[in-house]
This record gives sequence, structure tokens and C-alpha cells, in this order.
Amino acid sequence: MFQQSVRQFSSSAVAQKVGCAQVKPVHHKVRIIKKFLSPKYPELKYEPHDIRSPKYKPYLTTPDRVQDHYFNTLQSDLLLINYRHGQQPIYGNKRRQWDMTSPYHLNRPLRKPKGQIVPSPTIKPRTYENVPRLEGVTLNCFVKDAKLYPAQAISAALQLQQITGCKPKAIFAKTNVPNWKLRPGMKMGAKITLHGRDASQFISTLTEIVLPRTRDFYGISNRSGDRYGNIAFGLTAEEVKLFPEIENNQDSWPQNFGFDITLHTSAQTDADARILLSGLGFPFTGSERIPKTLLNDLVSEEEEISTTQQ
Amino acid sequence: MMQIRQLTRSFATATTTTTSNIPIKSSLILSRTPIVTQDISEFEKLFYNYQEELERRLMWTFPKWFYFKKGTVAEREFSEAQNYPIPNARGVWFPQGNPDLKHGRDRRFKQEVILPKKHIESDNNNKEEDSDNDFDNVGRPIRANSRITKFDKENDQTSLERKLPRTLYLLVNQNGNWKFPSFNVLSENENSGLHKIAEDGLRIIGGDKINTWSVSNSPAAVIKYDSNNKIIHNTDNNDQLITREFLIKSHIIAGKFDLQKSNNSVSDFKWLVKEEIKDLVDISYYSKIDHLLSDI
Repeated sequence: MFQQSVRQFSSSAVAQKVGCAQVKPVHHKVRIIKKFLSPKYPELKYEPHDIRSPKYKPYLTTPDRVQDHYFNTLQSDLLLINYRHGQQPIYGNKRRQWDMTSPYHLNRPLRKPKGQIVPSPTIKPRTYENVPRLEGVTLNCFVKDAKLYPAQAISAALQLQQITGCKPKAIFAKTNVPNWKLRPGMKMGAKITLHGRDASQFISTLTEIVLPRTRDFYGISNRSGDRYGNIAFGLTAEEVKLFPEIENNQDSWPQNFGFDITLHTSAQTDADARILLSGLGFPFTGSERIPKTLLNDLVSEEEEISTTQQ
Repeated sequence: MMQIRQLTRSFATATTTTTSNIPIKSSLILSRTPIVTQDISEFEKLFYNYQEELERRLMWTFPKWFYFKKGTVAEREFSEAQNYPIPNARGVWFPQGNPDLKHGRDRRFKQEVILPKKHIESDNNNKEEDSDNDFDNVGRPIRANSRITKFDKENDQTSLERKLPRTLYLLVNQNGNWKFPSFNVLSENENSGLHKIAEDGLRIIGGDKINTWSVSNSPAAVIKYDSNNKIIHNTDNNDQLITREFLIKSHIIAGKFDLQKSNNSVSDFKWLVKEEIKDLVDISYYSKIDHLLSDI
């Protein structure tokens, strides 16, 4: 139903308004992708996963044994391990309503959550629908010396490409730190996010060849994690030399660059993510601290008895 | 419903004991996870081969100049090992189309990079077997073991080294029935947890030279028996004499199951894959455990 605005005297102007200009050239509000209009390159209109597209890249080239292991053994085990009887959701800290003491509260975006800026997610009970899985692996290689020797950023990208077999993206400095002679826009290294078979291939190389041979490696720290199921750790330049792709061609690598590895999982908490990753062959070490709020997710005994008697 | 909840709660929290007259059993699904990659069907093999060749056709040309420096012995050996395609020539008719060569690669076809053979592998045939058994020689050739072991050929179902690409499950002949090993929860150890009882029971019937890992203390399933030891399918049965058998999952890590002669209840054991279990056990029992077993 059309409602007349308080501030407008005329209602007909609003009612007859059209979303875009009627006179040619029509400026559409929806973005036009020109390649779809032109008859020039019909093959550009195909989706990248279509075999006729020039962007097509076959990726199902081998069976994926990490995925096989996950679906045959790990997934059902994780469901049993994480399941606890009578689990209840732990509600996250969400954005709050305004108290409407001022007329300006009307239509104002919601208030920040209490004590934080970004709302935190609700932790749901573990069921067969939310069994954690590995979603991807990010390798981030930031080379400090690249501000003096820009070629080292290129060399770092090449190293990542050699290890993973995928094309990395360059990363650039964002901030201006005069003391470090760092300015925004300087190319500082490379990063790459692996999914699917590339990720499986990378983590099997890491857990079976590289990590067992690194000196003084006792496991990923149990303190690592971003609270929401992503675990990160780093490899030094010495450890990077142990990748077979680098080790078998040492003459080409006068210099190696360490990088950070982030393991993205769909787990809701870091503890769940660690259980998944240890099933995939990553060792963990150190004392584990689970926030108290995450432990209070069971129904209390009095509540449970009252619900059963009803 | 009330009855069941009380039952499970008393085991989880180990506080109240109302279970003394309700018979409970703890059963163990002991599995050996696959050791080698799973077998793939003929169609999958063809599919992967096609995708792999397609990838080789579309990939960037192998950068020989990066891996082999010009003028080195390695570069010469690598170049000699390659099968170079016929170059294009003017005035020559090529019945399958003109070659499109870049960096020694015909871009119309898939790229084949052949690695030069190492000197150790090119030894004479009589020396080959000697170098295989020479364990002090670090440079001895690496040869993969067969995916089919001698226990597969003998069909020795008590061995753990059979059906390497599949998940094996331990089944025992307990009191005349083939089933997962199951143990009574006695009143003296009813507070120790189902997984503990199952693991201890396994050591009694199978010796302590076995290393297992209990997946969780929560049971994966429950099977109910009536007083005649028959499986009950409908859950509304309020019979007081129902026996509940809780299934606990566990994996064997090392060691082996060695049947103890002192135990009278278990007469035989087998390590079986899903299809073999279906043929061996009772139909009503299989219908209860079917969904718990891995297809691979």
C-alpha cells in the first residue's frame, strides 16, 4: 500500500517514479556485463566450469585420498566425539535494539553488541549437519626485506607457486610506517588460498613429509586459533626447504621465505577444529584453554528432570 | 521414555544407581581403517585419465630452462630423454594438421615430460634383485608393495593384513552367534563407563597385546533384546526385561587380536568387510548395524 510521506506535499510524483531513465540511452541500475551483449566472443559467455570456456581447468585429475579418509572414517568419528547429550545453543553477542527514547532511533542501524564491535556467532548443538570439515588452506608469505629488494616479493610468489602448483596473488603494504621505510602500495610478498584437491595435496605433503622432519617441532600450539575454528601457524625459511619441490631442486633456491599457514575449517569453535585437524594428521601441543562460556552448553540436571516429567 | 532417560543419565554422570536390575551390555565396534587408497572402478579410472590428459593439454609448457641450467649434464640427459615432435616445415603436407611447436612442445596435444632414468635403475637385470635386498644401500630402488597380500589370496579372515583398501571390523562367535564382541555391565563396574567396560572386555577375550583407540564415550547406537534374546524393532516396548546393548566405536592402532583359550564364551573371531558381515550375521542384527559400517 502506498503511504504518503510527511515531508512531501505531492503524492503523484512519488507514485509515478520509475526506477531508471526512460529516454535513450537508458542507464540501467543493474550492471551490464558487456561480453554477454556482444556477439563477438561467444565462448566468453560460458561459465568457467563449462568445458567449452577458455577459463576451464580440469581439476578432478586424481582420486583425493584425504577426502576419502574424511568421508570414510573421520566424519562419523567427529560426530560421535563432538556430540554431547542435551546440548543447547550458546547465543552469541548480537547487535542490540535502540531503546527508542529519541525519535532519531527510528530506522537507525542497530546498536553495537555489548563490549565488542563485531557480533559473535551463536554456537549451535553438534549434529550430523554441522560436522566440521576442512574448507581451505591459506598460505601468506610476507617478506620484510621486500621493501629494500622488491625482487624478493616475486621470488616469494614463485616459491609458493612451486610448492602448491597454483598461482599466488601479490600482497601489498597497507600502512605507512616511516621508521621501517614502509609505504602503502609496496609489493611485500604473496598469498594463496587452496581449496579441494590442491588443499588436500598440500596438507598431505605437510603432515607426511615436512612436519615430521622439522627440527624442534612438537606440534601446533593449542593457543593458536581465531575462536571460530580457523587455526594458524608458521613455517620458517629453514622448514620450507624440506618441501620436496624445493629440496630436489636446491640450486634454484638460493633464498627461501617462511610463510604463515591458516587452516580454515567449518568448525564452530577452535577445540572442534583441533579435533578435526588432528584427525587429518596435525599434531598439537601445549595447554588448551577453552573459554568458560563454551563449557556451559548442557542442560542443567533440574531442568532436564522437569522436562522429562512434563 | 522416562525409563531410557534415567538410564543414560546415570551412566553419564555416575551418580544414581537405578540400573541394578536392568540388564545392560556394552559392545565394541572395533575397526581397522583402510591402509591404502581405495579401489576405483573402471569408469572412474577412465574419467581420471581423461581429465589428467586434458590438464596436460591445457597446462603451461614445462619450463625446462628453470629446472635445468644450460650446458649442464642434467640438462643434456633430460633433453635426450624427451620425445620431440616433428617440427613444422614449409611445403610439407601433414595429414593430421600442421604441428604447432613452442619450446619443443606440440601445443595441439597433451604435454609429456619424461624424466631421465637414474643410473641405479638402469643396472643389469641380475643385479636388480640383489640391490632390492641390500638394506644398507640407501640408494636402492623404491618398489611399492602389492595391494593384494598373501592373506587375500589365502582368504585368511583372521588376519589384519587383508583387504587393505577397505575397513575391517572385528566379529566374534559369542555364545554361538556371530556379532560384535559384547560384554555385560556388572554391578561392581557400572560406574566406570561403557567405553571402559568394552575396552577391558576386549583385553579379556583378545589378550592385552592390542592397542586400540576409543572414538568417544558416547555410544554410536543401541540394540534392544527381549527376554528371549531376540532383537526388538519397535521402540515403544515397555517390557522391564529389555536388555540394552550399547555399541561403542573404536579403532585398532597396533597389535593384534589374539583369541584367549581361557575364555569360554568366545569360540572364534574374524576381521570382515561390510559385505562379508552381511553374509555372516543374523539378518535382524545386520539391519541394526548396517548404517554404522563404512562402505569403503
